[in-house]
Amino acid sequence: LSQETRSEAASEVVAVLPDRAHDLARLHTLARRGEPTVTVIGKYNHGKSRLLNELIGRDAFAVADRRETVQLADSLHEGVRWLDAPGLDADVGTGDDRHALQAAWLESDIRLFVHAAKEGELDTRELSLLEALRADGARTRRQTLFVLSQADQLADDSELAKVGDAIGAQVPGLSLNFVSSTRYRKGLEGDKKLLLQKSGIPDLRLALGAALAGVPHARAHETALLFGEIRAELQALRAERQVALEALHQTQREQRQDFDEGLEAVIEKVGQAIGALLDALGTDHAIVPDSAKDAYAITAGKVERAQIQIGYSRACIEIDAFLAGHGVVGLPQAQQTAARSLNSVMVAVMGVSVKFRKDLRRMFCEALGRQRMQDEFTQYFEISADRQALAARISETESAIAALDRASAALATLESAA
Amino acid sequence: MKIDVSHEQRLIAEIDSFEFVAQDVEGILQALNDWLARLSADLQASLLTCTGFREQSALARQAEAINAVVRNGMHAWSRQRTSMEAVHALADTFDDKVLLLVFGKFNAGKSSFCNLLADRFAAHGKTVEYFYLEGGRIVETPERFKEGATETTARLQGVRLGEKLVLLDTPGLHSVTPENAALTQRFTESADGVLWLTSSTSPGQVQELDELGRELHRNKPLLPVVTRSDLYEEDEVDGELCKFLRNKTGQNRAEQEADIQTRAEQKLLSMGVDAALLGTPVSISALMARQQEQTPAAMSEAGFERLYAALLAITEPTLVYKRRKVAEVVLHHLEEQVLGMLRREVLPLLAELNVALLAAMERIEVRRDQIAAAVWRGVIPALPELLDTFPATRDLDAICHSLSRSIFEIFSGAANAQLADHAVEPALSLAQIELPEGADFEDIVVDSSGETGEQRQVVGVAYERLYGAMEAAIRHSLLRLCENAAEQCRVSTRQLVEQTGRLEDALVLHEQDLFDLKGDLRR
Repeated sequence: LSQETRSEAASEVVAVLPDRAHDLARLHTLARRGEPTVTVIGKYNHGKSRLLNELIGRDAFAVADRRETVQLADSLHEGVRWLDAPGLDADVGTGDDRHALQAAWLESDIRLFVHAAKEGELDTRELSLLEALRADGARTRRQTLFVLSQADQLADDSELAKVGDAIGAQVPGLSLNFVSSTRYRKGLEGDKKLLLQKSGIPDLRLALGAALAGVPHARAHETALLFGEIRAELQALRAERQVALEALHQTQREQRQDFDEGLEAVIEKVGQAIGALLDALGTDHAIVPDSAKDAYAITAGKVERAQIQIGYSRACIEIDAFLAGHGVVGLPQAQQTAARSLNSVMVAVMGVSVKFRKDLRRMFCEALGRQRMQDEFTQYFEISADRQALAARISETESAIAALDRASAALATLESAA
Repeated sequence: MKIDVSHEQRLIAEIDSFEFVAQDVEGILQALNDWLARLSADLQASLLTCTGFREQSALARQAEAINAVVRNGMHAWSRQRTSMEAVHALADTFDDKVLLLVFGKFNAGKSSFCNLLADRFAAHGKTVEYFYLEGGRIVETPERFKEGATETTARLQGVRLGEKLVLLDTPGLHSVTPENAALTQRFTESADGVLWLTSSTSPGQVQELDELGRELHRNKPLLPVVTRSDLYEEDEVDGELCKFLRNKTGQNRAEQEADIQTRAEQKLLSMGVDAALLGTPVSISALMARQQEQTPAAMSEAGFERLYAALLAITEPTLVYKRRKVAEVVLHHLEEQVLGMLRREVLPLLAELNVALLAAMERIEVRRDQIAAAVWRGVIPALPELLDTFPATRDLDAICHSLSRSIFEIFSGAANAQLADHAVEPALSLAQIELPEGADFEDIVVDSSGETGEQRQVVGVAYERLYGAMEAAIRHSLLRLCENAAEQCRVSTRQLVEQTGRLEDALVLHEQDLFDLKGDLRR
């Protein structure tokens, strides 16, 4: 998988699960299949760099009796990557903590938690970090080895044991590695067996070796765990969105059905009224020109026209009021004159021309005419503000689901390459 | 060390010769009291009123919460004034003494430090009296402070060195037990300076200083002391481990001190504290001093001569501070309990309320339009039926009346829902439907006059124009109703915005006044 494909896939997932950004970064690290990484973690000046130098067997990391490491430093040695993190608490609010975080969480397979024996018990900050690391270990199987460093800086073994007991009481079940880098160095230089043995470095090496042997297995476990969690979260989120989408569709359908049925009933009602009116009229006088008619016929024509006008106008009012109740025609924006009672929707569908009997019959009494009104008013219903807002929410939810599907696909791509 | 008088002797001698002459602070005390009286009067007058808001609305509750904080505050200040008499009494008992807080984490070596200084004073023939706090009382004890690598000092303890110096060993400035809270507070209130002990193993964790914020803002000098500046050297000789303790080297100490100096300065700056309060850090090893039998040379090598010099350097400002201490104590009370409380608790609430009010203001228009649309949708569909039922009687007044009632009901419901925070009083008169002259049912008449004479025939009743006129009248009525409600909301919201502004202004003004008074006092 190319670097580009990989980071595109990761951003597809992060786009929908921003809280998983860290896990994806960790998966990225895992996918690189680099050397097992051992990270030292702890307060500054507690002898982290010195410990690494002794474990590696050369002075790869800078050492001083003050704040020193402020950048991430690493060194490759015998197939293991050794990572020196800046001290915890070194400078609050600067980049140090970020580097420490990166080293502790993103890069490491094994953590060496270092605490100087002379400092006695762990303080609150150390304690909570150690507990977080141990909890992470239970989850991801990344091991944390606790190193009680600078063991030579207590007056005697019983003082050292007291400190060990106190820390054991703070963190039950913690196994301690008593270590003195100074003793080790001195023992090597002077070939002194007791110093070497009491340095704790050989024992720590053994413990580290065992932990390193378990790294491939732990990595496989962690990879599967993270993919599994993210996949499940994507699925849960998708199911949740799907339910929301269905509810929205349901609302959309119900509103539409309500409108359709209401409109049909109104059209039916006014159609019947107009049908009855037309049936009662008998001969159509209106189509005979007045000039060719007798006085009776002229009058009858006028009466018919007037009656038709009244009937049509009532039909329009019924429909208009129904449309207002469904938000198709909203509150008129500007003040309208009393004369202009019909709004633009009505005008668009009904037209402005004078209606003759045949027009009315076609519009109101024939299936085709009624269907045309039904269809056209429905179109206006669909573009009314409320319906549009509902449609927009549906389309947003659909986009969200599509994004989740893309994320799932991207995750599958990443997983197949892992 | 032969002829020269050591700093140790000078320190002990100088401390014994302290003369405390109180500065005349009557005038400034009066000014501080006047300031509090003015502030209280202003606050009382600036309490927020929530006319136009429902009592249970979020905004009214927010405003009432602010009032409650202010009222409780004013109540508490007067009580604290009384209890401050007690602080005065305690301060009086320390008025001829220098009181230093020994601050640091449990593993900073505070106990060894205090015990060693006690030994030194004893060595110079001074009395040494240990005490600790329990159940809110001071308990005298013959026992020295307990030392140990895993020690967790959980109580406030102290030692009187000679007649004029008191060291207070505190596990933290927050009292461990509630019954000791008042006394801890009084002690820290009375402290003249702070020794910040930080272990050489992990020196200068400046975030610890956060806890000292209050003391430092009280202008108390701060001296960083790097403790346990020693290390064991080991070797294996004939299969046996032998080890000896030595002081850290001068260069090593200088590096640690310089690092602490730089970062503590940055920290104080970020806390808004005058960096001039910071003394030059010194490194010591109580363990080395003790192992080497506290000889003058050992004391000097363990760093104590430098410590004594630093202590001498901070006693001068301490003395100056003590002379005006009575007024400082009152000033601290006003800065921290009074102004500090207002700043901490009231200002954020006011800011929150302001944001909420602005948002409420912006919502009003949208809500008004939503109400109008809802009323329109509710009223118009009933219109055709209404017109159908009345042609017989043509009772327009009855139709209008029925419409008005329906408008008003639907409006009231919608306004209640949409403007839930506001106590809107809908104006019934605005729901009145008024039709223009001539809007009525129309008889459609056909004129069939001809040879048979004049004939008019009523064909039917039309109400197309009436319908139009009614729509217009309904629109007019509901827009007036909605705008009237919106205006009520705007007026009450604006009133509350103005009130919060006045309260904020008052706080800023009084803060400046107090700042000026502080300047006068410390000049």
